[in-house]
Order: sequence, then structure tokens, then C-alpha cells
Amino acid sequence: MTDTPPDQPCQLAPFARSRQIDDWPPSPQRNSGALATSNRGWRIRWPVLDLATCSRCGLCFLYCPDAAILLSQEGYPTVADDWCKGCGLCAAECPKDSIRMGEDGEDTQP
Amino acid sequence: MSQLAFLSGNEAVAEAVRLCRPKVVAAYPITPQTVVVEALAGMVESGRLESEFVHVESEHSALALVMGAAATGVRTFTATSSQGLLYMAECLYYASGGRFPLVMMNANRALALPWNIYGDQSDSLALISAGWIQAYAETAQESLDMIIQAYAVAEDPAVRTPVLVNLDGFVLTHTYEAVSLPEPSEVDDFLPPPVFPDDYPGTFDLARPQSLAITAGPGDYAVFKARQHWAMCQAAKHIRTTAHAFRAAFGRGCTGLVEGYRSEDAEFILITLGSTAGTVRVVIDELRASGQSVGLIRLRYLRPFPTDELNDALFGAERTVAVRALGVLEKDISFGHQGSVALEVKAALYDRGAGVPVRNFVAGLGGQDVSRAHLADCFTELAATLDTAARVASGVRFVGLKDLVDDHDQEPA
Repeated sequence: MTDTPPDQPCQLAPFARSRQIDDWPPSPQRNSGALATSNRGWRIRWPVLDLATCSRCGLCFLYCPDAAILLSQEGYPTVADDWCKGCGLCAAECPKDSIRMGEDGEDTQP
Repeated sequence: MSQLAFLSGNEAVAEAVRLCRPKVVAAYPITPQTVVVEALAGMVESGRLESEFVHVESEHSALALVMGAAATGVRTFTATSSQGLLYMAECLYYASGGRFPLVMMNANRALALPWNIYGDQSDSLALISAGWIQAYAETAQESLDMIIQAYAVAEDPAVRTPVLVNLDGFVLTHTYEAVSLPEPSEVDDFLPPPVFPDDYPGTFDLARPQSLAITAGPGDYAVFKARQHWAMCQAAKHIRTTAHAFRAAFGRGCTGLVEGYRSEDAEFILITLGSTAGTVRVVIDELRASGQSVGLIRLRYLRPFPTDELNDALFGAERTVAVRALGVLEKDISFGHQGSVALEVKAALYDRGAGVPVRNFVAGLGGQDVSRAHLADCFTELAATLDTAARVASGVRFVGLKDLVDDHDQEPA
């Protein structure tokens, strides 16, 4: 009895797969790497990245408490927008001041 | 072949648990449950039970630990009582909301203050809304049988609701009777294996990692809770089918959530739960011999509450005599209202039981003796209920209080 098809990692996977109650998970559980409820709703600011000054140290990736910073193949950060809760820890830790907390919805890589 | 063994209620529970082969046992000893923990520790030490026995520092840890173990997909066991059950309160809701198929034994014991280690039912009744199936055993034999059936019910994929099996402290946990003890192979045939299938919901799977016991926000949360409630309601059917299967396999046991005794032709019926029912049966036989129309209905399960079964027993087609008055006898009080069981019964009778007076008898608090004379008094008072304009609906009668104080009838006018 598998509860749900595998979720894509780092994607929003709401509990409700349909309006049929049997399509809901059989207990409060979700595949690892999938998020049931987006953090977008209560975030008011989020990181805006200046990749020109980024040294690709990876500290933002390591420090993010919700693993909302992903690293590209080249080692540059990107923000998972359903996961980021806007805490600003990445901006505080960035040794190059390459991250500032902008308005939610602002282009994260201008 | 089953064999007869001379066992206390606690020992019967321990033997039942051994036969069910839990992979993990964690419990913190507390009177009057301690014998269960000691017996299981001895069984693990001697090799009679192959299980991981974990010594924990509290009841809170005990329940958290078996919940975690169940999340790895194995059968578990824990047991507690009184203050220990209340200390578990937070984890009780976690376990039921997470739909972990746990089985726990509770030795019904009074709650402090005043400090008191003796039996009453205040502990489990205080947590009746915690989302656990609640069973109440009358005898050591029924305790053993209920534990075995509890695993079958809790682990049914359609139920996945934890079960609390209650034994009256001392009166049942520490008294001895001849108990039919099944062979391990017989229980193996009855129960599924103690390691759950790989795809059992709510368990870890290394091939398909999941986050368990997670958050659900406004909206989502309500859906989980509605499903939890419906699964609990559905559990009544599974309790009955499991009991029928048990009866077919072992040749004994009630198959309903309620059990009647000389009740179909009784005008005056006591409704009770747990071991007190045994004494009530004796009193009924005595009163019947003198021509009184009295009977018993025993609530074997309080969650899911057997509303339909109870109404059928009191007002259904099987009856030969109409019920004239009901008493609810219980070892607890919800301060400022009535006994919890009386409230449950009255709510269940609201649609079909209009007009039948229901009297609430609170007895046996903190281990106070519930004697045959007390119970005969209850039946006398039930009959008198018909001739009085007293506020029987809201009143609580503290049985046995008149043995101690003269002004025992302090009901508000």
C-alpha cells in the first residue's frame, strides 16, 4: 500500500492530490525533499543574490536552516522559492556581502 | 494445545505480550503496573521473548520510544498507570495523530492529590479524547485475550489507531485466576508477523525516504483529524470481526463492544465497565432470586463509543421487558459535572433513550471497596428513582460515602 507516488525533490507536493480524501497520505508524512505547504505565504523578504561578487564559498548553502539554497553545477547559489522562509541568515553569513534581503517577489538574481 | 495457568491480571498481560512477539518493549515501572514490566524484563533476559527491552527514564520517554520503534515498522509494547499515563499525555496524541499502531496496557489507578496508589478509573477516562481505542477488561482471561486482539485491530491497515487496554488496579492486576494460555503457534496463526510489510503506511523505508510525523497547516490539519475520527469509528467493525475470528480460533470471548448479563428482561440496569462487573453479576443473581428485575450492561470499549450497540441492548427488538431506569456505575468523577462514563452514556442515549431516568453512581474512588451491599443499594435507589422528583439527571451519588460521613448527600438542590 504505497501512499503517494514519489515526489520530486525540492518541489512543492501538497497533501491534497485531489478532492478525494483517500488521495491524502495515510498519516502526516511526505517524501523527503518535498514540501507539503509553501513558505511563500508568510515570507515578506527574501535573498537577492549578486553573483558577480559571489566567491562560491557555499556558506549560504550550508547555513540555510531549511535547505532552501541550492547550488548549481558551477557552485553558484539559487533560492528554492517555496522553501525560503525569509529569515536572512544567508545574507548575514555571506563573507562577500553578495546577498541582501530584498522584497519578496523581487528577482532573486537581477 | 492451550494450558491453564494460575495468573494475576498483570501476569496475564505479560504472557499475552510474549505470545504477540513485540520487537521492542519500553516501559517505566509504576504501581500497580510494575509486575508487567518485571515479568517482560525477565522473559527477555531468559530468552522466552526475543525483544529489545529498553530501560527509559520516564513514561514520556517510554511512549516516545515505542512510537519511534513502530515508525521503523515493528510491533511494540509499553504499559503504564495513573500519573505515568498523564505524563504520557502529549505523546498519546502524537501516537494517535501519527496513526502508529501501538498497544499499551494501563493499570487503572487514582490520580494525586491526595497521593493514592490504589485503583480507580480517573486516569484513562481523563484521556478518553486522546485518539486511542480504549478497552476495559473484566478478568485476567479477558485481559490476555484483549491484548492479543488489540494488536490485530491496531495494526489493521484500515484502522492504524493505537489501543489502550485497561485493567482495574489491584482488583484485577493483582488478583489471581485460572487463565487459558494459548500456545505460541496458535497466536502466530491468529496475528500477522511482528514486522510490518515494507509498504506499511507511516513507516520508514530506506529505499524511499520520508519525513514522518510532520506539520500540517490550517485546512490540511482538519482533514487529518477527520480521517482519524472516521478510522476510529470504523474500528468498531474491526473490533467485532477480530473478536469473531478470535472466538473461532480460541473458543471464547465476547464479540461485541458491550456485553449484557440478564439484561434483556430487566427493568433496572446497571451500566458499568471493568472488573466491577464481576461483583455486579453476583448481586444480580442474588436480587433475581428474590424476584427483582435487574440486569447488567458492561461497556467493554469506550472508544470507539458503542452508541448503536448500547441503544440496541437497551431498546432493541431483542428486549422482552422495557427498561424503566438506568444506573451508570464508574470509578471516576469529572468535577463539577458527573462521572465521565455517565456523560458518555447520556450523550449516546439522547436520540433513543428519552424519558428513561439515568442515575450516576460514583464508586471505588482511590481503591474504596465496592461491596455487594453497595451495589444492592444502587439497584434499590434505581427503583426509588421512579417515585421521586429528584434531579436524577444531573445528580451524582457517591456510593460508599455514607459508610464514612453522615451528611453524605450534598447534592445541590
